[in-house]
Amino acid sequence: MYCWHGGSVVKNTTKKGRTMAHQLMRAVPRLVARRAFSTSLARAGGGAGGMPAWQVNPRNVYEDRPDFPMPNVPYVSELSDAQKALKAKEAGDWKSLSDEELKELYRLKFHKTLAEAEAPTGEWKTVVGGTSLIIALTFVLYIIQKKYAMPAMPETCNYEWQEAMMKKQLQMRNNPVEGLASKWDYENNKWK
Amino acid sequence: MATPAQLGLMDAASPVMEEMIYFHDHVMLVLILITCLIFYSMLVLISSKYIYRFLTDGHVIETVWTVIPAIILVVVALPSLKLLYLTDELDSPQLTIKGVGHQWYWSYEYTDYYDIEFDSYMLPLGDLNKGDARLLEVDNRVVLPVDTSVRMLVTAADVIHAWTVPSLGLKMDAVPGRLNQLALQCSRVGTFYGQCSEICGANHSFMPIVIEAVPVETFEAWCDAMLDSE
Repeated sequence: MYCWHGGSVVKNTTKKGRTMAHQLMRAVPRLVARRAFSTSLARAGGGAGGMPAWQVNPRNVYEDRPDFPMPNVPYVSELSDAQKALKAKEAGDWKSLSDEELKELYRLKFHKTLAEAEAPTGEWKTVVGGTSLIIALTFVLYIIQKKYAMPAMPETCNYEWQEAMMKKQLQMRNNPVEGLASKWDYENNKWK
Repeated sequence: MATPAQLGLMDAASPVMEEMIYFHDHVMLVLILITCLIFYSMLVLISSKYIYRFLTDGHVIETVWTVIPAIILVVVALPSLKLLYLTDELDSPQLTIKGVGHQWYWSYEYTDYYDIEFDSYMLPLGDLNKGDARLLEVDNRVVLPVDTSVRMLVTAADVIHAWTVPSLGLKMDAVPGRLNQLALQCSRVGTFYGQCSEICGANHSFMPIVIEAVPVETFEAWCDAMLDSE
Protein backbone atom coordinates (compact mmCIF):
# COMPACT_ATOMS: atom_id res chain seq x y z
CA MET A 1 0.00 0.00 0.00
CA TYR A 2 1.46 3.34 -1.02
CA CYS A 3 0.68 6.89 0.16
CA TRP A 4 0.31 10.05 -1.97
CA HIS A 5 4.04 10.73 -2.37
CA GLY A 6 4.79 7.21 -3.50
CA GLY A 7 6.31 5.91 -0.31
CA SER A 8 5.08 2.70 1.22
CA VAL A 9 2.67 3.05 4.12
CA VAL A 10 3.64 -0.28 5.51
CA LYS A 11 7.37 -0.44 4.99
CA ASN A 12 8.82 3.02 5.84
CA THR A 13 9.30 3.59 9.53
CA THR A 14 9.94 6.64 11.73
CA LYS A 15 12.86 7.00 14.15
CA LYS A 16 10.83 5.31 16.87
CA GLY A 17 10.23 2.37 14.58
CA ARG A 18 6.58 3.32 13.95
CA THR A 19 5.24 2.81 10.38
CA MET A 20 3.07 5.41 8.69
CA ALA A 21 0.10 3.09 8.98
CA HIS A 22 0.76 2.81 12.71
CA GLN A 23 0.89 6.60 13.03
CA LEU A 24 -2.37 7.00 11.14
CA MET A 25 -4.07 4.47 13.39
CA ARG A 26 -2.96 6.45 16.43
CA ALA A 27 -3.99 9.82 14.93
CA VAL A 28 -7.51 8.92 13.78
CA PRO A 29 -9.13 8.49 17.22
CA ARG A 30 -7.47 11.71 18.40
CA LEU A 31 -8.78 13.69 15.40
CA VAL A 32 -12.27 12.23 15.69
CA ALA A 33 -12.41 13.06 19.39
CA ARG A 34 -11.25 16.61 18.70
CA ARG A 35 -13.90 17.08 16.00
CA ALA A 36 -16.63 15.59 18.19
CA PHE A 37 -15.66 17.87 21.07
CA SER A 38 -15.78 21.07 18.99
CA THR A 39 -19.02 20.00 17.31
CA SER A 40 -20.63 19.26 20.66
CA LEU A 41 -19.61 22.69 21.94
CA ALA A 42 -20.96 24.41 18.86
CA ARG A 43 -24.23 22.52 18.79
CA ALA A 44 -24.99 22.48 22.54
CA GLY A 45 -28.57 23.47 23.43
CA GLY A 46 -29.72 26.84 24.77
CA GLY A 47 -28.62 26.95 28.37
CA ALA A 48 -30.74 24.14 29.84
CA GLY A 49 -29.27 21.49 32.15
CA GLY A 50 -26.05 23.37 32.74
CA MET A 51 -24.87 23.01 29.12
CA PRO A 52 -23.29 26.14 27.59
CA ALA A 53 -25.40 28.13 25.12
CA TRP A 54 -24.65 28.00 21.37
CA GLN A 55 -21.63 30.04 20.52
CA VAL A 56 -20.51 31.13 17.11
CA ASN A 57 -16.86 30.88 18.15
CA PRO A 58 -16.59 28.34 20.97
CA ARG A 59 -12.84 28.38 21.06
CA ASN A 60 -10.96 31.11 22.85
CA VAL A 61 -9.88 32.91 19.71
CA TYR A 62 -10.37 36.64 19.33
CA GLU A 63 -12.66 37.64 16.41
CA ASP A 64 -14.16 41.02 15.37
CA ARG A 65 -17.73 40.22 14.28
CA PRO A 66 -20.36 43.00 14.22
CA ASP A 67 -23.17 40.51 14.86
CA PHE A 68 -21.35 38.88 17.83
CA PRO A 69 -19.68 41.90 19.43
CA MET A 70 -18.27 40.51 22.71
CA PRO A 71 -15.50 37.95 22.11
CA ASN A 72 -14.61 35.49 24.88
CA VAL A 73 -11.01 36.63 25.15
CA PRO A 74 -9.28 40.03 25.05
CA TYR A 75 -7.32 41.02 22.00
CA VAL A 76 -4.03 41.37 23.83
CA SER A 77 -3.58 38.45 26.21
CA GLU A 78 0.11 38.76 26.99
CA LEU A 79 0.64 42.14 28.57
CA SER A 80 3.91 44.06 28.83
CA ASP A 81 4.92 45.60 32.14
CA ALA A 82 3.52 49.01 31.17
CA GLN A 83 0.26 47.40 30.13
CA LYS A 84 0.09 45.45 33.39
CA ALA A 85 0.56 48.66 35.29
CA LEU A 86 -2.27 50.25 33.32
CA LYS A 87 -4.52 47.30 34.09
CA ALA A 88 -3.75 47.71 37.75
CA LYS A 89 -4.66 51.41 37.48
CA GLU A 90 -7.94 50.36 35.81
CA ALA A 91 -8.87 48.46 38.95
CA GLY A 92 -9.00 51.76 40.79
CA ASP A 93 -11.01 54.93 40.16
CA TRP A 94 -11.81 55.35 36.47
CA LYS A 95 -11.98 59.13 36.78
CA SER A 96 -8.22 59.11 37.26
CA LEU A 97 -7.71 57.58 33.84
CA SER A 98 -6.85 59.99 31.04
CA ASP A 99 -8.42 59.79 27.56
CA GLU A 100 -5.26 58.24 26.16
CA GLU A 101 -5.22 55.59 28.88
CA LEU A 102 -8.89 54.79 28.25
CA LYS A 103 -8.19 54.33 24.57
CA GLU A 104 -5.16 52.17 25.39
CA LEU A 105 -7.30 50.01 27.66
CA TYR A 106 -9.92 49.69 24.92
CA ARG A 107 -7.30 48.59 22.41
CA LEU A 108 -6.03 45.97 24.86
CA LYS A 109 -9.49 44.47 25.00
CA PHE A 110 -10.60 44.97 21.41
CA HIS A 111 -8.78 45.07 18.08
CA LYS A 112 -11.28 47.32 16.25
CA THR A 113 -14.09 49.60 17.31
CA LEU A 114 -17.56 48.79 16.06
CA ALA A 115 -17.29 51.54 13.47
CA GLU A 116 -13.98 50.13 12.23
CA ALA A 117 -15.35 46.59 12.09
CA GLU A 118 -18.41 47.70 10.14
CA ALA A 119 -16.49 50.05 7.86
CA PRO A 120 -16.63 49.18 4.16
CA THR A 121 -13.50 47.53 2.81
CA GLY A 122 -13.77 48.58 -0.80
CA GLU A 123 -13.53 44.93 -1.82
CA TRP A 124 -16.31 45.52 -4.31
CA LYS A 125 -13.95 47.52 -6.50
CA THR A 126 -11.60 44.53 -6.77
CA VAL A 127 -14.49 42.22 -7.61
CA VAL A 128 -16.03 44.52 -10.23
CA GLY A 129 -12.66 45.33 -11.73
CA GLY A 130 -11.57 41.71 -11.93
CA THR A 131 -14.87 40.60 -13.44
CA SER A 132 -14.80 43.41 -16.02
CA LEU A 133 -11.25 42.47 -16.96
CA ILE A 134 -12.18 38.85 -17.53
CA ILE A 135 -15.25 39.80 -19.58
CA ALA A 136 -13.13 42.17 -21.67
CA LEU A 137 -10.63 39.38 -22.26
CA THR A 138 -13.47 37.13 -23.39
CA PHE A 139 -14.50 39.73 -25.97
CA VAL A 140 -10.93 39.93 -27.25
CA LEU A 141 -10.72 36.14 -27.56
CA TYR A 142 -14.06 36.08 -29.38
CA ILE A 143 -12.95 38.72 -31.87
CA ILE A 144 -9.72 36.83 -32.57
CA GLN A 145 -11.48 33.54 -33.18
CA LYS A 146 -14.17 35.21 -35.31
CA LYS A 147 -11.51 36.80 -37.51
CA TYR A 148 -9.10 33.89 -37.84
CA ALA A 149 -10.83 30.63 -36.94
CA MET A 150 -14.54 30.70 -37.72
CA PRO A 151 -15.79 29.93 -41.25
CA ALA A 152 -17.64 32.58 -43.27
CA MET A 153 -21.35 33.14 -42.61
CA PRO A 154 -23.73 31.68 -45.23
CA GLU A 155 -25.12 34.08 -47.84
CA THR A 156 -28.55 33.86 -46.21
CA CYS A 157 -27.21 36.13 -43.47
CA ASN A 158 -26.37 39.04 -45.72
CA TYR A 159 -28.62 42.08 -45.97
CA GLU A 160 -30.08 41.46 -49.44
CA TRP A 161 -31.16 37.95 -48.57
CA GLN A 162 -32.70 39.09 -45.28
CA GLU A 163 -34.60 41.80 -47.14
CA ALA A 164 -35.89 39.28 -49.68
CA MET A 165 -36.87 36.91 -46.87
CA MET A 166 -38.85 39.60 -45.12
CA LYS A 167 -40.67 40.44 -48.38
CA LYS A 168 -41.55 36.76 -48.77
CA GLN A 169 -42.78 36.55 -45.19
CA LEU A 170 -45.00 39.57 -45.76
CA GLN A 171 -46.38 37.98 -48.93
CA MET A 172 -47.05 34.77 -46.97
CA ARG A 173 -48.85 36.80 -44.27
CA ASN A 174 -46.46 35.39 -41.71
CA ASN A 175 -47.75 35.93 -38.13
CA PRO A 176 -50.70 38.16 -39.14
CA VAL A 177 -52.25 38.49 -35.67
CA GLU A 178 -49.56 40.21 -33.58
CA GLY A 179 -46.35 39.46 -35.50
CA LEU A 180 -44.66 40.68 -38.64
CA ALA A 181 -47.57 40.86 -41.09
CA SER A 182 -49.75 42.67 -38.56
CA LYS A 183 -47.35 45.61 -38.72
CA TRP A 184 -47.51 45.99 -42.51
CA ASP A 185 -50.15 48.14 -44.20
CA TYR A 186 -51.03 46.02 -47.24
CA GLU A 187 -53.22 48.69 -48.85
CA ASN A 188 -50.59 51.39 -48.84
CA ASN A 189 -47.59 49.09 -49.06
CA LYS A 190 -45.72 50.48 -46.11
CA TRP A 191 -45.20 49.84 -42.40
CA LYS A 192 -48.04 50.92 -40.14
CA MET B 1 -41.97 31.09 -39.09
CA ALA B 2 -40.24 33.17 -36.44
CA THR B 3 -38.70 36.53 -37.31
CA PRO B 4 -35.10 37.35 -36.29
CA ALA B 5 -34.59 38.05 -32.59
CA GLN B 6 -38.13 36.95 -31.84
CA LEU B 7 -38.55 36.09 -28.17
CA GLY B 8 -42.22 35.22 -27.84
CA LEU B 9 -44.37 32.51 -29.38
CA MET B 10 -45.45 32.69 -33.01
CA ASP B 11 -49.05 33.57 -33.83
CA ALA B 12 -51.35 30.59 -33.54
CA ALA B 13 -52.57 28.86 -36.67
CA SER B 14 -54.80 26.34 -34.89
CA PRO B 15 -57.35 26.55 -32.05
CA VAL B 16 -55.21 24.40 -29.79
CA MET B 17 -52.22 26.70 -30.22
CA GLU B 18 -54.41 29.67 -29.33
CA GLU B 19 -55.28 27.94 -26.06
CA MET B 20 -51.61 27.22 -25.46
CA ILE B 21 -50.79 30.90 -25.88
CA TYR B 22 -53.48 31.83 -23.36
CA PHE B 23 -52.14 29.25 -20.93
CA HIS B 24 -48.61 30.52 -21.44
CA ASP B 25 -49.76 34.07 -20.64
CA HIS B 26 -51.59 32.85 -17.54
CA VAL B 27 -48.58 30.96 -16.16
CA MET B 28 -46.25 33.83 -17.08
CA LEU B 29 -48.38 36.19 -14.99
CA VAL B 30 -48.17 33.85 -12.00
CA LEU B 31 -44.41 33.49 -12.42
CA ILE B 32 -43.83 37.24 -12.71
CA LEU B 33 -45.85 37.87 -9.56
CA ILE B 34 -43.91 35.25 -7.64
CA THR B 35 -40.58 36.54 -8.95
CA CYS B 36 -41.40 40.13 -8.01
CA LEU B 37 -42.39 39.02 -4.52
CA ILE B 38 -39.15 37.08 -4.06
CA PHE B 39 -36.98 39.89 -5.40
CA TYR B 40 -38.69 42.36 -3.10
CA SER B 41 -38.19 40.05 -0.12
CA MET B 42 -34.52 39.56 -0.96
CA LEU B 43 -34.00 43.30 -1.33
CA VAL B 44 -35.62 44.06 2.01
CA LEU B 45 -33.70 41.33 3.83
CA ILE B 46 -30.33 42.21 2.35
CA SER B 47 -30.68 45.93 3.03
CA SER B 48 -31.82 45.37 6.60
CA LYS B 49 -29.24 46.09 9.29
CA TYR B 50 -30.93 43.98 11.96
CA ILE B 51 -29.93 40.43 12.83
CA TYR B 52 -32.00 38.12 14.99
CA ARG B 53 -29.57 35.47 16.14
CA PHE B 54 -32.00 33.16 17.87
CA LEU B 55 -34.46 32.57 15.03
CA THR B 56 -35.14 28.85 14.81
CA ASP B 57 -38.71 28.47 13.51
CA GLY B 58 -41.89 30.33 12.67
CA HIS B 59 -44.85 28.00 12.50
CA VAL B 60 -47.39 30.49 11.21
CA ILE B 61 -45.30 31.77 8.33
CA GLU B 62 -44.18 28.26 7.45
CA THR B 63 -47.80 27.21 7.17
CA VAL B 64 -48.62 30.28 5.07
CA TRP B 65 -45.78 29.74 2.64
CA THR B 66 -46.77 26.10 2.20
CA VAL B 67 -50.47 26.61 1.67
CA ILE B 68 -50.25 29.57 -0.70
CA PRO B 69 -47.89 27.83 -3.18
CA ALA B 70 -50.17 24.80 -3.08
CA ILE B 71 -53.09 27.03 -4.08
CA ILE B 72 -50.95 28.62 -6.81
CA LEU B 73 -50.10 25.18 -8.13
CA VAL B 74 -53.77 24.29 -8.32
CA VAL B 75 -54.43 27.55 -10.20
CA VAL B 76 -51.74 26.53 -12.72
CA ALA B 77 -52.60 22.84 -12.88
CA LEU B 78 -56.30 23.10 -13.68
CA PRO B 79 -55.96 24.90 -17.03
CA SER B 80 -52.86 22.85 -17.76
CA LEU B 81 -54.73 19.57 -17.49
CA LYS B 82 -57.66 20.97 -19.47
CA LEU B 83 -55.27 21.91 -22.26
CA LEU B 84 -53.54 18.55 -22.07
CA TYR B 85 -56.77 16.72 -22.75
CA LEU B 86 -57.80 19.25 -25.38
CA THR B 87 -54.72 18.42 -27.44
CA ASP B 88 -55.81 14.79 -27.54
CA GLU B 89 -59.33 15.49 -28.77
CA LEU B 90 -59.94 14.41 -32.33
CA ASP B 91 -63.30 15.38 -33.76
CA SER B 92 -64.28 13.23 -36.76
CA PRO B 93 -61.25 13.84 -38.92
CA GLN B 94 -61.97 14.33 -42.61
CA LEU B 95 -58.49 13.40 -43.74
CA THR B 96 -55.76 11.09 -42.50
CA ILE B 97 -52.12 11.63 -43.38
CA LYS B 98 -49.25 9.39 -42.44
CA GLY B 99 -45.88 10.99 -41.75
CA VAL B 100 -42.91 8.62 -41.62
CA GLY B 101 -39.54 9.76 -40.34
CA HIS B 102 -36.42 8.46 -42.01
CA GLN B 103 -32.77 9.28 -41.69
CA TRP B 104 -32.90 12.12 -42.74
CA TYR B 105 -36.14 13.13 -44.43
CA TRP B 106 -39.87 12.79 -43.97
CA SER B 107 -42.22 10.90 -46.23
CA TYR B 108 -45.97 11.45 -46.36
CA GLU B 109 -48.83 9.25 -47.49
CA TYR B 110 -52.33 10.43 -48.33
CA THR B 111 -54.13 7.14 -48.74
CA ASP B 112 -57.74 7.97 -47.87
CA TYR B 113 -59.02 8.26 -51.41
CA TYR B 114 -56.05 7.74 -53.67
CA ASP B 115 -52.47 6.73 -53.10
CA ILE B 116 -50.39 9.88 -52.89
CA GLU B 117 -46.93 9.29 -51.48
CA PHE B 118 -43.89 11.52 -51.60
CA ASP B 119 -40.65 12.26 -49.80
CA SER B 120 -39.84 15.64 -48.30
CA TYR B 121 -36.15 16.52 -48.31
CA MET B 122 -34.58 19.71 -47.07
CA LEU B 123 -33.42 22.05 -49.84
CA PRO B 124 -29.65 22.53 -49.61
CA LEU B 125 -28.18 26.05 -49.61
CA GLY B 126 -27.31 25.90 -53.29
CA ASP B 127 -30.91 25.14 -54.31
CA LEU B 128 -32.52 27.99 -52.42
CA ASN B 129 -34.07 30.96 -54.16
CA LYS B 130 -33.30 34.41 -52.81
CA GLY B 131 -35.39 35.00 -49.70
CA ASP B 132 -35.93 31.34 -48.84
CA ALA B 133 -35.31 30.23 -45.30
CA ARG B 134 -32.09 28.26 -44.86
CA LEU B 135 -32.56 24.83 -43.17
CA LEU B 136 -36.35 25.17 -43.39
CA GLU B 137 -37.41 24.87 -47.03
CA VAL B 138 -38.25 21.46 -48.50
CA ASP B 139 -38.77 20.16 -51.99
CA ASN B 140 -42.27 18.73 -51.39
CA ARG B 141 -44.49 20.35 -48.80
CA VAL B 142 -47.35 18.83 -46.85
CA VAL B 143 -50.40 20.42 -48.45
CA LEU B 144 -53.55 20.49 -46.34
CA PRO B 145 -57.01 22.00 -46.75
CA VAL B 146 -57.67 24.86 -44.35
CA ASP B 147 -60.33 24.57 -41.61
CA THR B 148 -60.33 20.81 -41.95
CA SER B 149 -59.91 18.36 -39.13
CA VAL B 150 -56.96 16.15 -40.05
CA ARG B 151 -55.60 13.08 -38.35
CA MET B 152 -51.84 12.90 -38.55
CA LEU B 153 -50.33 9.47 -37.90
CA VAL B 154 -46.66 9.74 -37.14
CA THR B 155 -44.15 6.94 -37.17
CA ALA B 156 -40.57 6.24 -38.16
CA ALA B 157 -38.74 3.76 -40.30
CA ASP B 158 -35.41 3.58 -38.51
CA VAL B 159 -34.72 5.61 -35.35
CA ILE B 160 -36.91 7.86 -33.23
CA HIS B 161 -37.70 11.23 -34.81
CA ALA B 162 -40.24 13.88 -33.77
CA TRP B 163 -42.68 15.71 -36.01
CA THR B 164 -43.08 19.31 -34.92
CA VAL B 165 -44.90 22.39 -36.16
CA PRO B 166 -44.79 25.09 -33.47
CA SER B 167 -47.32 27.46 -35.12
CA LEU B 168 -49.93 24.73 -34.91
CA GLY B 169 -48.89 23.64 -31.41
CA LEU B 170 -47.90 20.20 -32.64
CA LYS B 171 -45.14 17.90 -31.51
CA MET B 172 -45.18 14.12 -31.54
CA ASP B 173 -42.46 11.51 -31.37
CA ALA B 174 -42.12 9.34 -34.43
CA VAL B 175 -41.26 5.96 -32.98
CA PRO B 176 -40.47 2.96 -35.18
CA GLY B 177 -43.06 0.24 -34.80
CA ARG B 178 -45.63 2.61 -33.31
CA LEU B 179 -48.30 4.92 -34.69
CA ASN B 180 -48.82 8.15 -32.79
CA GLN B 181 -51.89 10.21 -33.55
CA LEU B 182 -52.07 13.99 -33.78
CA ALA B 183 -55.12 16.17 -34.25
CA LEU B 184 -54.34 18.86 -36.78
CA GLN B 185 -56.50 21.79 -37.85
CA CYS B 186 -55.22 24.89 -39.62
CA SER B 187 -57.38 27.93 -38.93
CA ARG B 188 -55.85 30.10 -41.61
CA VAL B 189 -54.18 29.83 -44.98
CA GLY B 190 -50.41 29.99 -44.86
CA THR B 191 -47.10 28.20 -44.69
CA PHE B 192 -45.97 26.74 -41.38
CA TYR B 193 -42.52 25.41 -40.64
CA GLY B 194 -41.10 22.96 -38.17
CA GLN B 195 -38.00 20.89 -37.56
CA CYS B 196 -37.28 17.37 -36.36
CA SER B 197 -37.26 17.43 -32.57
CA GLU B 198 -35.64 14.16 -31.55
CA ILE B 199 -31.95 13.53 -32.06
CA CYS B 200 -31.69 11.03 -34.86
CA GLY B 201 -28.17 11.16 -36.21
CA ALA B 202 -25.82 13.38 -38.14
CA ASN B 203 -28.45 15.28 -40.12
CA HIS B 204 -31.02 15.63 -37.38
CA SER B 205 -30.99 19.43 -37.83
CA PHE B 206 -31.55 19.09 -41.58
CA MET B 207 -34.93 17.38 -41.93
CA PRO B 208 -37.55 20.12 -41.65
CA ILE B 209 -41.33 19.96 -41.99
CA VAL B 210 -43.35 22.43 -44.05
CA ILE B 211 -47.12 22.55 -44.03
CA GLU B 212 -48.97 24.55 -46.65
CA ALA B 213 -52.58 25.24 -45.67
CA VAL B 214 -54.62 26.05 -48.77
CA PRO B 215 -58.31 26.41 -49.70
CA VAL B 216 -60.08 23.14 -50.44
CA GLU B 217 -60.18 23.75 -54.19
CA THR B 218 -56.43 24.33 -54.26
CA PHE B 219 -55.92 21.16 -52.26
CA GLU B 220 -58.01 19.17 -54.75
CA ALA B 221 -56.03 20.61 -57.65
CA TRP B 222 -52.80 19.69 -55.87
CA CYS B 223 -54.03 16.12 -55.37
CA ASP B 224 -54.82 15.86 -59.07
CA ALA B 225 -51.39 17.20 -59.98
CA MET B 226 -49.68 14.71 -57.65
CA LEU B 227 -51.62 11.81 -59.08
CA ASP B 228 -50.83 12.89 -62.64
CA SER B 229 -47.13 13.19 -61.87
CA GLU B 230 -47.08 9.68 -60.40
